[in-house]
Amino acid sequence: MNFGDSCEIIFFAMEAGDLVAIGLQELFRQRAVDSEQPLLRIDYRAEAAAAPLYFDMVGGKLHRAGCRAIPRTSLPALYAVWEPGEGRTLACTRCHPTFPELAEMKRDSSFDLLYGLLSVVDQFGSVLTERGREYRDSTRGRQLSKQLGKVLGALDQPQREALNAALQSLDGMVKAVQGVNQSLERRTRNGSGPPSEDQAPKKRPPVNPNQGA
Amino acid sequence: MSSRKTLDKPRGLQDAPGRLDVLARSHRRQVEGVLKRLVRSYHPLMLAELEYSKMVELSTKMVLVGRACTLIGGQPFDGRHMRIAALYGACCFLGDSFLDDFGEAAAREYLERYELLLTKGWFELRNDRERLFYVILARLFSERDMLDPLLRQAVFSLFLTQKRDVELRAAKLPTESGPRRALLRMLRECARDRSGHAITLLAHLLVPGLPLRYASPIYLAGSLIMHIDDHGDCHYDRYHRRVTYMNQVRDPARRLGEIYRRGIDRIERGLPQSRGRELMIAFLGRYYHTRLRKNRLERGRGGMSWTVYA
Repeated sequence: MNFGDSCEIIFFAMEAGDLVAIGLQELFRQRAVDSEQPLLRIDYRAEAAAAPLYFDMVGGKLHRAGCRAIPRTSLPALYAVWEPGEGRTLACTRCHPTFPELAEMKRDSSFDLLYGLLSVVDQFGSVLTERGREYRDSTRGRQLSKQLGKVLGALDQPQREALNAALQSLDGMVKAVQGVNQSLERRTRNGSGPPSEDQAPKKRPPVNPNQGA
Repeated sequence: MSSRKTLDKPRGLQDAPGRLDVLARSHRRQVEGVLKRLVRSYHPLMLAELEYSKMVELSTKMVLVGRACTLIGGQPFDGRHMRIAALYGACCFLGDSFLDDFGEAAAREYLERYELLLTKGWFELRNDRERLFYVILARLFSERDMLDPLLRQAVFSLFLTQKRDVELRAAKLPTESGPRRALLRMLRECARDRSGHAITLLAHLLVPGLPLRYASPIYLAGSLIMHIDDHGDCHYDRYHRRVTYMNQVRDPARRLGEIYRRGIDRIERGLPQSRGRELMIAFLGRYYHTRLRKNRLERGRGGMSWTVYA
């Protein structure tokens, strides 16, 4: 395989990723998902509020939370800091922030990952339910069903609810992937780009378009 | 760095005249390599417009600034850095177009939808421009761990500042000196934070774990870019009744000169000697001088000043 081929493959893979991303948002547009359930949360305000230290980007100083030496004008430029690293040399001389062991300060990302996984599972699910129904009616499924019955019987109520939430999912994800698959097949057949449906608001026209770079 | 004479030649370029131009030309080609195919796939009409050239130009600048930040962080600037900076430039260009080019109501609606994207991850794609924006954003987010606390804070702080900027730019400047000074201070802080958060985000996308000691001088470099940019766009912004610090302050060229000189001095003191610092200062010097010229050239042209400047 030459370099050009490998670039093509990478680009094709990235395009497939683009289409999955677009497919997920298409589900949102069609109101086919519960938009109250987050797909991804970038907003960090809740976590930042609990940070022990804040770095003032304007003044270049590291402060304890609530330090009175933080200028009012710097408030929009404060960043919550959990791992100051070499920032110790930038410590505010008024609040003298101490630097607890990093292990204590580090955010526990294992829970973030677990909740991230659960949120995706929670969001996209009913296809699994259907597939499960088909599978349960098969011979192999009936055998497994007996074994599962014993396991499920041993679950308490919260465990049952968690399992139920997980099984109510993956629907949207599967639909998005199916949509991408169909779209890629269409494109392969037609040799064309992704469909376009322009509903753009009218752009303020450039008044002087004849000037070059 | 206090005399007018030293401003005649951009600092950092004295030893390497033309190097910045050579670098910019090379990066412009690479930026096209990253963006053209994406634009062709998701918003092909844009390729035929002047707007595409503007996007490439902004992305090229972003790559130059990103290259400086990467070198300041002690890393070589490789193909991945290049791709991230180019995508980031395009993302900023399209994001700004939603805020600037379709009127106030559309800007406010976009901000609401963008907030939903940042808080819930959902973004309704209504047209090719939005589709291109979202694909670029998705590719950018897939390059790094976007759940990194600093990246998340930079993204959201940038959004909050954009929101503040949209609210402030429609403001009427009071005639009384007290309230006027207060509003000017708000406008100045808003400009400072808008580009400050933007460059912080770029720097940390390029160099995850960038040492905190570089954060403040880099933030300052971003602020400087915004003030210079606003001075260059002064007449266009006034024509469209957009209030900025640089188009409201008395004697803006002199004021910008003061901000520029003080900023460059602080950046020189705040960053260790490196090729990255040299490039950043050279870029800022070039940008300062070209935007002073742009401001002079476009005086009196108002809405006719929608121009691509290298």
